[in-house]
Amino acid sequence: MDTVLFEQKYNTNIEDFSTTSQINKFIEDKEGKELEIAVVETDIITTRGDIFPMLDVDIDKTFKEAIK
Amino acid sequence: MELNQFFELYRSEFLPAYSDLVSFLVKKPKQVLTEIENTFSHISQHCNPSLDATIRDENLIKAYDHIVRATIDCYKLLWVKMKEELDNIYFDDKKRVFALNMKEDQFVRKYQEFRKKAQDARNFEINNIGSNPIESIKRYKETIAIGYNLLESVDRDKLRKLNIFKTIITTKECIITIILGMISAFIFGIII
Repeated sequence: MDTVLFEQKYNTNIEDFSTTSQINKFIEDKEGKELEIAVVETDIITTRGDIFPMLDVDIDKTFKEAIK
Repeated sequence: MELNQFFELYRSEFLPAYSDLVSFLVKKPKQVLTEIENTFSHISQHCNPSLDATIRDENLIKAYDHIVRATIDCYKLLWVKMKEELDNIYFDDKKRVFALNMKEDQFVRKYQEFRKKAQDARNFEINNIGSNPIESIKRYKETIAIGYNLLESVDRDKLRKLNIFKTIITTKECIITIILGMISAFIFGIII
């Protein structure tokens, strides 16, 4: 259990965190701002696995395009 | 499958991947939050006493699959965003020469490895769907480590100075072009 960049960037230990909420709060404190919810990559729009159709990004497709 | 296996995966694989992604973006990616929402729905059904044991077990497996997917999605998104930043260097020969704390040929070699490892990780994931998720996660994580190493080699101060220098050169070129255009028009006017 280790991270590639989180621990190095903030000089911390991931084992001190048990939930995403704790991680979010820690990063917000370090960066001095509230974390926004963002749709990362918006060039491909699809629906995926939800009861109600929603605009979302197909990560697999985005990744597949990027590794070409 | 036991519930503690699910939470073991959540702590040992998902949280590191999530922390890497969020600390890189300094944003919460909606796609991953959606996966967590789906995961929670299945965990809720797993703990629903009105359902029979088979359905509850199926929901735990589905929750596990969602958290595997969320973990891999974190690394894929991180890889795409890292590649965007690396492409700015890789496809600009001046930045490759002047803005790196790494030899240019070494950077090019590692960049190609970064791409190749991602392709290999994807091929492994596709060929082993449902059978070896932890190994898939490990392979994606290795590509991220290469990308981070490459980004660490970028000297932000040199890059900033290079960008300023390029802006000055471009501005000078524009001014010279405009002046030459005006002189040409003036001479052309006298001749006619």
